[in-house]
Amino acid sequence: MIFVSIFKKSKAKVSKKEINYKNHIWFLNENDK
Amino acid sequence: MIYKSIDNIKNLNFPVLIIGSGPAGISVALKLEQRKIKCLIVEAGDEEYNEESQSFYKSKIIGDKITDLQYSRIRQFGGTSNQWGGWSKPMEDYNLSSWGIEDNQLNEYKKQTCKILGIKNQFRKSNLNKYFNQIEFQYSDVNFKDKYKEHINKSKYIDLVLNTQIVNFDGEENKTKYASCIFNKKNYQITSDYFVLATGGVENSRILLWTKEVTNLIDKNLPIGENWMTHPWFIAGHGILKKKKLAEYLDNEFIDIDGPLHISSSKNFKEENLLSGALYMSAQENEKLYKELIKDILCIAPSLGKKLARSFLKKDLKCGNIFFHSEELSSSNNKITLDKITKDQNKVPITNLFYKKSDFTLRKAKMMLENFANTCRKLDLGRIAIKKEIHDLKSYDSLGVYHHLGGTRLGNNKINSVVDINLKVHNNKNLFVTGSSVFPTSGYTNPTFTIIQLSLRLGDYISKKII
Repeated sequence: MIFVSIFKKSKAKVSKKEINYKNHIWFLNENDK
Repeated sequence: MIYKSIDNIKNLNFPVLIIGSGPAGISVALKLEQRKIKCLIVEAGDEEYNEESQSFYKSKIIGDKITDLQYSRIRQFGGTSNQWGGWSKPMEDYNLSSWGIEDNQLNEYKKQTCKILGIKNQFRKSNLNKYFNQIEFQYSDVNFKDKYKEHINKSKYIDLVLNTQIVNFDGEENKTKYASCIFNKKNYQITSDYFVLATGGVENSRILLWTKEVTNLIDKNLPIGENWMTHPWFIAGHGILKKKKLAEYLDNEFIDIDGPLHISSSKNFKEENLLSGALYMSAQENEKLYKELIKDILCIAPSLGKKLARSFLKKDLKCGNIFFHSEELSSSNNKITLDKITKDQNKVPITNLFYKKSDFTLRKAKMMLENFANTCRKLDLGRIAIKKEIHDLKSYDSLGVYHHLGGTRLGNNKINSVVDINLKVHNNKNLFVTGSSVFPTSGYTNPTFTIIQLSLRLGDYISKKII
């Protein structure tokens, strides 16, 4: 899985659909921006 | 009539003797009363809760840490209905199908169960997709002591004695003749034609194990205490759901749009994955958590976050923690035994409960949560976040273990069950067990509704034998 950091401040990690944020994996759509 | 002392009962012989005054025991008694059959209910606890009585429930837990058995059940008139949450719903047919009891046999008692629990006989279901249904629970506020105290006091058919601990059964030629009990440190014997053990998902095993040890009444090979189960119950994550969109998707069959949300796995999910489970979101809207979650979304997907914030202002969001309630497969490693050293104040060995959380349950919980989260995002019904420790299959933090299931399972085969489908102990003519200890599988549903259905059915079965 490729993670790209979009918000350095919040340390969120983004993959195509799943985002690890505050010890939770958010299930988002690809076009969720 | 309710007796505080067994010494006040003139004749210790009753057509039916019921041990335990919780939902199971009282339901059997109510059915017998309806058929004009006399019974005595024997309750180990008092009318009111007290720590001294409760301390008889001291136990040891070996394995994973779970709720102390001294406090996850109540030794008092009314049993654990003195502290239960009241969530009520019949078990899914697909979960009952392996029990060997035909569906209509329990359905026959649905209406009366609702009456006992003081709830509406309404359990709607909306199909979400192949794997999920929205389901409806009813919430009972019945405390069996409060509801039935006066009823029992006036009943011609039901007697109840408090503060009396049944220790074991005895008899000969596979027939139970009497129950040995202790009141105020003195020993008594109560004789009867039919004996019903209804002391909950731990004590039922304990009393039968002790009977097996000190008498020859019970088949020594019966797997008493084995295959104990609970319902893993934990916060699995959090999420934001769009109420109107979900209602539209369900063709406006959405059940109580502002109430609690229950989503269960379907028969298809169970068949493909062996386990069932249910998600729950509270009706109580915690504004702080709402704001926090929307803030989280604003951080990770700002455009989506802004849209959701607008929906929040229109009160169109259901937002909060997602609780998970899972079925658990039975395992021979999870079991109740008697401690070899420590005994209670009446010299009965205390219970040892061996319990380990299951990796399989965690895997299936993750699968169900992911499936639901994917459904929500694909259909744009909302967005779900799963706790990382569950996503990574590390563990889950139990919110408490209060459902005690199995240990005296029902079934046709005495190698892996203790009672038959009529709840009679295998190879015994007149000793029955009722309650969640007879569940051969746990399903995901809270057990009390099914316990009452089984107990009413047992009352009818015994009545037919007597009349």
